Amino acid sequence: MTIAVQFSPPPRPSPPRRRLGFVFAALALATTGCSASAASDDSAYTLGLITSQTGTGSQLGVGELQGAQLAVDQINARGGVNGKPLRLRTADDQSNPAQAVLQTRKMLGSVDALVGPSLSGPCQAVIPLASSAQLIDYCLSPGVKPKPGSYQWSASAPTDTLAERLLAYWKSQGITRVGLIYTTDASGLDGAHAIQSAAAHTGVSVVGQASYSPTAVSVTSQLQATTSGTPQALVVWSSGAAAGVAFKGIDQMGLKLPVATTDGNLTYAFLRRIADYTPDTLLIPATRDFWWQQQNTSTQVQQLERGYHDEFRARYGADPDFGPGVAYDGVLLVAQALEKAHGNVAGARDALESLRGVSGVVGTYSFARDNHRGIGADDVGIVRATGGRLTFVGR
Amino acid sequence: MSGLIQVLIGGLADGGVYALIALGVSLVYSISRIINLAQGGFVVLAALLAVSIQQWLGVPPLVTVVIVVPLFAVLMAVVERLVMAPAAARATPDRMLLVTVGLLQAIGGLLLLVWGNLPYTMQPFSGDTAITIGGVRIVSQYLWIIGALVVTVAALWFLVQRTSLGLTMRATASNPEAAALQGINVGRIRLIAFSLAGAMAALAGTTVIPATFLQFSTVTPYAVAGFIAAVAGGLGSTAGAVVGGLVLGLLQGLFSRYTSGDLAQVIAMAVLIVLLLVRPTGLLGKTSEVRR
Repeated sequence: MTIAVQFSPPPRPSPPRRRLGFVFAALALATTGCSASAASDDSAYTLGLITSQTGTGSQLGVGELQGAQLAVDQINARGGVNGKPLRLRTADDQSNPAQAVLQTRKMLGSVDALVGPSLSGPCQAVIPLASSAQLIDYCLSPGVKPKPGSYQWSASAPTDTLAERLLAYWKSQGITRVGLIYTTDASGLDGAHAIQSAAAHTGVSVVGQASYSPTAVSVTSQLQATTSGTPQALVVWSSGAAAGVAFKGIDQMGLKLPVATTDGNLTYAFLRRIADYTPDTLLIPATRDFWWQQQNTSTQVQQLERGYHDEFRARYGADPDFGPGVAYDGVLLVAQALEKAHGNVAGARDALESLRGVSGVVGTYSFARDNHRGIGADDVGIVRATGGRLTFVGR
Repeated sequence: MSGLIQVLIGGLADGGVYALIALGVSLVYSISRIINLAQGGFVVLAALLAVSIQQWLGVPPLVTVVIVVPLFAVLMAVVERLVMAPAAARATPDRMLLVTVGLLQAIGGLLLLVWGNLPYTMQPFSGDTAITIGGVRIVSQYLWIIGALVVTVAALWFLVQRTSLGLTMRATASNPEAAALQGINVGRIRLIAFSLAGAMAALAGTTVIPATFLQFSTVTPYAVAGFIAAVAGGLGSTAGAVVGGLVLGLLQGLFSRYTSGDLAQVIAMAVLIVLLLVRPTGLLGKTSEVRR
């Protein structure tokens, strides 16, 4: 069965009277959001998928759309949700919180749950709307921390777990002194805090640290500060161009230390781009979808992972990376919640909170009222990036 | 001590790029009274174009300089004729600032559209070689950046001080109306100034891309750094642009070593603002430039 994918048209300039009408309509919708939460079409369930198809987040968003489409197709091929087909209504937030809010407003009343946006900023921006409409929002960014009992969920593993796994692995390898360099954006600061906390737990010392702007084009000074305490390894908690600048700086300074970075860099396009400047040892904490083949997992998990990876490769001609995995699981989980709640949109939150031991490709999910992420430390391993490929090295 | 010298060398390399951008801003300002904030955008555009040319043609990275620099001299002349000159005929110089901001945004959008949001880099001109002296490692590409700055300053000095074209440029910079009454084609001089600024942007972009990763979002930091360097050095002053750029790079490097990333930017800017309060003309600017 095929799915109906609708792209919301880009906003067009409208005459003042129409624009005024739109403002009134938006206000009315915002104030009466609770009553507008159920999708208007009873013959199918509709998920609103908001991703970054353009802008800074498109590195993740394009893959997320592919992963979500694959999940919907597989669900429909198995008979849909409670016998009804699952539809996807998609929108591009242009990596912009304001656009994310606009697209969410357009979807209220016609979708049964939201999946996305791709980035933490837009996720934070849409949650008040989703909450007022009593709609689940499965944010695809790991960078948000959902409040207990809220309507917001967050994808993938928490930063604290990634940091603890990484430092514990290094400790097991005899590395107890690390340098830390990170960007001054929300993701970098979150990572730096997680590394510092994990260091205290694992008995590893952060012997030098420095921060830099995400748009910096040189980090010589910061690397000098980071390595002043003669660390045995470096943590680069930044992603995209900022991480590339740091790797190039490490290469230019002739540093031969093992380096670790954030899972935000787990896209093959990026790894290929930095291939010439990848440190000899580049480690990344990663969820199960990156190392399932190299570890003993249950038969059920093996089947799920193989079905996902093979079908993704056949359909898109590339291996899935970070984006497709979180979106694929997001759709599976939300669909299960809708099924369990028998289509009761407001009841889907409680249904999703009650899911335990559900296998996804990223990991095995067990949610609770105070755990809207569901992924644990067992789902995180350490992979090594070499020549644009990833190899499991430990947990 | 070697650590501090390493920081200063990195700061000088960054400052060299800022100085090249500031030179273009300053040259255009002195001739046209337009502060071209888009200069930093052209630097990134040239850099990414150089990467693409290098990949398409498979030529050594250094060869891209020979291709991109004249190309951008022509491109900037076209921009001057199609955008700047018509806009300047209708708008005051301060409103032209908005036009150049719009141009900067347009360049950022074009970069995102054509090159996407992945970062780009290129192999260094002399390969991954570095000189190590007393524990201080000097990357060969840094020498190319400083070399490009030295060649640009020398060529500009020769053009302005030793040629008849330079004389007419100085006359136009000093008083465009008087120069026009003397029979100087001010429009042509303005075209030449923009064209030279385009070449400088291309030189900055092609020499810095092997030392870093650039993408569409890098246009703003370069635009801001180039503008600040030009103003701090003294708008319209060639020597001021060079000094302003190098000082800004060194300050950012030094403060980044001892403070957090964001604080380093703020402190470097604060020092330059205090400088402008104490000396409104900038380090080497003339009082007449401020009054005007």
